[in-house]
Amino acid sequence: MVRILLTFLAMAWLTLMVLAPVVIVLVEALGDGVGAWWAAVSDEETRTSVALSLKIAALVVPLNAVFGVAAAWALARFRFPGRALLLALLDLPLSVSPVVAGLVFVLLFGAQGWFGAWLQEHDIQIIFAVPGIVLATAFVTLPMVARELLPLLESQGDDAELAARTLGASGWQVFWRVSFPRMRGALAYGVLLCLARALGEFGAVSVVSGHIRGQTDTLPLHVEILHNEYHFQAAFAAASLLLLVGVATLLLRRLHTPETGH
Amino acid sequence: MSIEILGISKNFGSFRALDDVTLSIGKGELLALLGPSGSGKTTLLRVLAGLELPDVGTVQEDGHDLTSLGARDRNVGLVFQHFALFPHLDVFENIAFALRVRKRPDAEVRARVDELLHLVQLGGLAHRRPAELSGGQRQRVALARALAARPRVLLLDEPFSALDAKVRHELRGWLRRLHEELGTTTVFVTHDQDEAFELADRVAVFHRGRIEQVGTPDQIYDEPNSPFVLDFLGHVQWLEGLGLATLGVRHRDVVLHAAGDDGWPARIERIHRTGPRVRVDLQLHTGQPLIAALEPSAAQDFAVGQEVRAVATRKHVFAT
Amino acid sequence: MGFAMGIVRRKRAPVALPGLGLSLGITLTWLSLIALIPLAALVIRAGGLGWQGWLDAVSGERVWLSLRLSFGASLIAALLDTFAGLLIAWVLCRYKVPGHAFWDVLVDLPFALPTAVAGIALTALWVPDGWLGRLVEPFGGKVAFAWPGVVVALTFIGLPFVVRTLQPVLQSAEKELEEAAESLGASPAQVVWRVVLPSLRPALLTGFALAFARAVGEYGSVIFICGNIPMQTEITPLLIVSRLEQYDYAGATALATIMLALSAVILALLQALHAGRRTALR
Repeated sequence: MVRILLTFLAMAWLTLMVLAPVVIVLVEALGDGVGAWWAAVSDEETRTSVALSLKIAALVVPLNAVFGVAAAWALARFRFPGRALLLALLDLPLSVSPVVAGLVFVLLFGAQGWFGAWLQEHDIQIIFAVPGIVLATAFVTLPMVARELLPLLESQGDDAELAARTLGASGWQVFWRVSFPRMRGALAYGVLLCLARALGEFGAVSVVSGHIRGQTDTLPLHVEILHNEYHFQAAFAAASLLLLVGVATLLLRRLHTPETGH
Repeated sequence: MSIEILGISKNFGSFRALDDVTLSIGKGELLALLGPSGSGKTTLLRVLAGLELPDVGTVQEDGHDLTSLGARDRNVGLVFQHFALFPHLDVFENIAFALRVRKRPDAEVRARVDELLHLVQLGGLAHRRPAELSGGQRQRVALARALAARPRVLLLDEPFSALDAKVRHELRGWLRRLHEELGTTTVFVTHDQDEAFELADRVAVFHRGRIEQVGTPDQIYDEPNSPFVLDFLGHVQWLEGLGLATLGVRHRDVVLHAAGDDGWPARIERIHRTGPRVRVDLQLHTGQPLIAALEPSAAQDFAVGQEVRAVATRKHVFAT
Repeated sequence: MGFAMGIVRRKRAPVALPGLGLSLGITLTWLSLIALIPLAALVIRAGGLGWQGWLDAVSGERVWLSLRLSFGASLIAALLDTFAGLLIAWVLCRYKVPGHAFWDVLVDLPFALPTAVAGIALTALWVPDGWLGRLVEPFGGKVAFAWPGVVVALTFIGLPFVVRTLQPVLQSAEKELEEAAESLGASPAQVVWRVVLPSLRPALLTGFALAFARAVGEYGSVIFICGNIPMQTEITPLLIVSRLEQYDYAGATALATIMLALSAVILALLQALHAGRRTALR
């Protein structure tokens, strides 16, 4: 009896608080028919914003992937002074408010920022331009690949790598022939998480973008603009694309670690 | 290839893992490093493999100093305790690894791996992954992998500890034969004295980072040079109250007489069968306990409660 | 760092695995460029305001009200998440639920849904004529464009932190402990109260702290549903943004230091909590 009551309450909470927002995105996006959805999605400005979001992700994700592999390798395979501090700092970008993440770059590169005058002299635009969005996105997605790899490398231990070493492998041979093949799955999933977050980041990007239509509007910012201009159906249609990315990430996670289901 | 280990010490923080260890290993020898866990034997093996750098001391091979040479450049074959096979590579590629990283031509790799697969009797399993093998098969793959580049020394870290008892016995005999066939200088670490005595030409007994005694199994068994060695080999009873010495008597060195004046007067407390021998628990009249491990035929004549004379045919006396 | 690496090299480099220098170099360079130097710039900039300047920038009723809303709503949301998260984790771990995989995936959805999407979806649900807003309207309840809307959005984003922290603990919890308590005569309620909940306390605290930390800094999902009415539904991150839009860098910086300090404090608390648990296990 208690069991049924608790199960019902849990399901009710998940339905109202989590499932309902997803359903309403789809209902609002497709409520006027698939044609209207397609019209909104294929609209010139929406397409430009999708292209910008993809471009930014294409810049940020590879860099953070290399960083993630390097950080996981250093932190999982070596003990050095300051390691615990580095581990804590690694989490900082995920716990800082996205608004603060955007703000720090405005303070550095904005018109009144440290390098503002110098940048203006040389006619380089970072804030309210694509470079600023790239920096802010890189900040908020910084540790995502490392976070996926670190526990894996820790649990694998370094026996296989030491074995490769005694068998005469050079440093890079150890990495490419032993370490990399074993981290491929987790790396792919970390890259996917990083990609999804890079495409969907709103707060940090919003602070540095300046909302210049057709130039610095990423897809999430475009959703906001459409919503603020009362183009609700179009806003939800654009949002449905981001929803799709999110749901795909979750489903791929199931494939990646089927045992999460218990 | 003879190896000289000279005055090696190694600390981990405040823990002294190796304390001024000196040992020489002869060419073609099969040497066991025997001791309880934490006694330094595995650390010495890792120093030999180039995985640990000693704080003090050197490792020399035919007069050349190897101490600071990295694991990669030593050409030793190391078999890890839990084998450390590459899970993403099949048996063939695991064994081929040392040759692949040396960029040997494909035909040579194939020939050498086939030869090794034959040697370790795993011909049919070349394309299995490590996860699909039994413990004994993994052990043999690990050995073949370590041998692939014709190492100058083969090092094995607790080679049989991850296996069950039956497989362990089979592989011991097999490893001994393999060593006779290949003649590679081999050093293995174990905490199991039976294993050390059955396999090794010589045994080095470790205690708290030091080598307590080195010698052939016979020397170590017959002439243990310290109470620790005698005690570690097991089945020994310590008798005290004999002045300035400590006396150790192995259970199997105790003989019982129903009457006579020899030995110590004692009373039989308990008799029970333990495997091939019969264990008799005695209480000496001095109040100390003593255990005798008798042949079943010799035990037939005795019963619980009987007064007997216990004679130690061999005593190990150590000054205290 | 050169000093530190020197020590490492002397001790292990010739023998252990290679690549510490390179991997640590990449890590420190990129982490510094993207996160540490910018964050340091924020702190230095705030220091430049002077104590009085900083105090002026963070005082005033509008700031006070925004902080009260941000902290208050985050606290309520994190508490709601802790209760709901415990309930959901318990049900998913201990009971056979029809469509288990579906519900389990659903728990992660707030992680995966971009905040802007969550923001407009929650707004559409809770406006007075929305699916859920309609249900509370007759009772005079107003969610969207009022402070409860902030709580709703923060509760949404915080839920997975609690569930995902509790699940592994619930799974590894020894059923034997509960069975032992039962065999010693404890009622089901006593088993939960005296055995299960105490063993979950560190995980509950961690989940609560994570949800709270995330909630305080949240921006995207809140700004749509809160209506952005200054002095009423303005959260602190929103106030930072509006100060930036008015080129009040000093004011934005001062507020940001409060947020940053809070993140650092929560991170440190979580670290201490983990360290404590590890030593307790030893």
